[in-house]
Amino acid sequence: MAVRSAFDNLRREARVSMFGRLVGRLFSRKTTGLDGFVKRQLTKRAPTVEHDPELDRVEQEMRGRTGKLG
Amino acid sequence: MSQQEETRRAKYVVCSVCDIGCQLRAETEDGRLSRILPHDNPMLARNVCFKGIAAPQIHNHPDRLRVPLKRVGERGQDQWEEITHEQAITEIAERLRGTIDRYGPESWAVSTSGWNTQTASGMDRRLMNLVGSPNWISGVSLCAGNTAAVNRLTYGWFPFPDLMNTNCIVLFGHNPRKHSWTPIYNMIEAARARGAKVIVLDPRVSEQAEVADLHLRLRAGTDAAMCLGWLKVIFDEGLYDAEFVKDWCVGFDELRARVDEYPLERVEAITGVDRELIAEAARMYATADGAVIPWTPITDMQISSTSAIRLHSILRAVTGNLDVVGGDVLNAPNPGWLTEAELQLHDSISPSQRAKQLGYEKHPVYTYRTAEMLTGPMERVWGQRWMDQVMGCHMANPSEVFRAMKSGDPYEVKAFFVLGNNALMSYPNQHQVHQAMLNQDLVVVQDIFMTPTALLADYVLPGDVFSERSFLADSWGWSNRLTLSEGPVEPGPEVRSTFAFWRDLAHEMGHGEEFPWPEYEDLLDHRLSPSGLTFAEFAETRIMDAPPPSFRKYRSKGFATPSGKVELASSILADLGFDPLPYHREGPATDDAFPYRVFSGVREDPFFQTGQRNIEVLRKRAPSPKVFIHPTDAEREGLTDGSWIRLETSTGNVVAKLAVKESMLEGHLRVPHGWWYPELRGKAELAGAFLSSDAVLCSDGDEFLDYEQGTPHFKGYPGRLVPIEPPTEMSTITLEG
Repeated sequence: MAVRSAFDNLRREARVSMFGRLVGRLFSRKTTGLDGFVKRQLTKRAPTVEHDPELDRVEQEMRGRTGKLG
Repeated sequence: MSQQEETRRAKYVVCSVCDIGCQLRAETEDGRLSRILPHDNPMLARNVCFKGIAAPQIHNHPDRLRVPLKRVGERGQDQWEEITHEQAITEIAERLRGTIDRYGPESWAVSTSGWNTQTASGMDRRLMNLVGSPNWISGVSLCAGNTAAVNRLTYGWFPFPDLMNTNCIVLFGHNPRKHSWTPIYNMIEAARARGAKVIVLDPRVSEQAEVADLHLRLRAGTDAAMCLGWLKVIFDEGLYDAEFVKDWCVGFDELRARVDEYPLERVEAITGVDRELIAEAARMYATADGAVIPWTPITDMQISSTSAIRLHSILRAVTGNLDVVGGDVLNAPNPGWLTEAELQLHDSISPSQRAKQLGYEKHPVYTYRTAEMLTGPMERVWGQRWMDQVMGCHMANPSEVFRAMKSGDPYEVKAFFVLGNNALMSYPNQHQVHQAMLNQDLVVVQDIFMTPTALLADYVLPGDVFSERSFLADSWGWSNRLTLSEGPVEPGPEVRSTFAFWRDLAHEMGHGEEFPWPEYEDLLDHRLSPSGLTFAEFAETRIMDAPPPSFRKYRSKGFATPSGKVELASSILADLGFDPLPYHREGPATDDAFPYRVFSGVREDPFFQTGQRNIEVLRKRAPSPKVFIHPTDAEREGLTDGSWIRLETSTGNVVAKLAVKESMLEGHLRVPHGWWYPELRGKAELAGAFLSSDAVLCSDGDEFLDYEQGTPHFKGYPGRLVPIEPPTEMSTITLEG
């Protein structure tokens, strides 16, 4: 069960809250200053995005087609 | 930047092809949506599925409705006259006034799906409340909206799982996949990669079950019994947070006595799962350092739904996982944003009209009756009387509405408006819905394609799509994020947003003063006013706003329940005359005539609900409806993979192809949701709306409904199979793929 000491709760909450504030910077349009710094740092930590070939296939199949059945 | 580069520049959009709202980018060319790209933010870039990529085929489809249509033939005959938006609104308002004058304001019902429309911003309820009709219904009554309402019985709010920090995830039949609920799938994958345990409870070996740490193959529709078994283990072995229970819960002793009625032998007999496995799963959940039970549509659609949803809530609370890091978090509303409920003017409709809401007496949990009981606690904790989440906390009961539409019992409902929602096929007992719609004086539909529901309308108005509207997605109060969507494409001259429909109708009905926003952006400015930003300023500075998470907020104001505590025994249910404690109720029994347990309402990757069967690139991925069956059952029936069958229940029947799957649990049949055949328009009744639609299969008679909400039992009703020849009326793509 998630029974934690008061200190442990506070420590985790502070960490998650701080991370939440940083993530908020990630979604600003600014690319300079603190926002830019946070973006660069969090981008480094972001998981690698593997390309999904299924998405390419859908794109290819749509080319030149109206989408109508048959 | 050249003009060509500018027109090709990708804009940020929120996809509304399904209801999860992936953040994507949209490119345009020659004023049309040309391509969907993943987000350029690496934290969001994996959240894209092939439905989203297919948006250009959907938005530019030659069959898109572009002009308002007025029925000129018999209802359902598909004969129309093109008219202007202004003419449509004038005539609709006049006819609606006539209906209200004759039968009263409660004779007007509205069915909608906010996922599809996005820009309603509470304007539908606002006008209905000003007029005096409480009869608003939605598919959220059996999918997430009802979960929100039931969660509020226990702790006054509907939590969101902290998947980023959790160590254990429990999926009650929910099966997020790479191309279905993609962001949640990605978060589960990330949690699994950092060592979180995953427990899946599902009759079939779903994609999530295949990689789960524990898989409990419970009999369909027995979630409540399973949770009672978990609590039995947790209480008997002392795996609960005794301090939290003592300080913040009421009704523990009564709950414990109820749980003692469910020893594991009994739970094993009900669910079909080995008692040792039940105990192991309960221990895994209860001892994790942060565990979540994410929302699941499966528990929403069972005969013991209210009890089962409440048991999820109770498990979160007693194991110390409520509103903590890694647990299920009660997100406070975004302080910079006016909620829909604030715009809906629920105090403008009189209490006597609210009490006429269909379902108010018999199945009150998500109706005004329960919301009224919570106005005090909501105001104390959240600062507003009529708080709402997932649109689900002040609704009428759909079956009661359709019964009234059909038969005038308990009063006449004669005008039915449907926005972004294929209502004919979205609720149980489809034949009753059909008869109800045929008995209307006025049916108005706004949609993007001519659906079977639209074919039954007097007026069909063309709606917009996500590439044609700018909006802020707010998940209807479930999370507190505001996500920007920039509409890069101009809609056609006669296409209107849902907001524009309600604005124009309100003005025509004489309520213009209460709808002072000329454009949707003006309403967004109003909704953002607490933040001090305009919509333009928001869009210029950010693509999303999310307040930093906060936890254990109950310490300052308690929980938004009558007692201020977590109500393990619900005082509201007791006051409403129901059992205040959760229980298992057995669903309709199988017998020799109907030997299978049928579970329906299941989504397939290429489609969202009843949509997209007309989109070539998606239909190719699932050309025909498939009923899943276990090999042993198929062999006994003499049926083979790919053969055509008719699935029959006491209420109706559907035709489909059979898919023989080892992953199925013996004795069960799985039916996909929402099948119709757009290509059969003009060839089969209502474009094949009755051929393969799972909504014809499940009754909404009392023996099939949850007592408290009146939610239908889509998970485990009796059915049988009959072999048939391939139906000749089907199209080539259906028959041959």
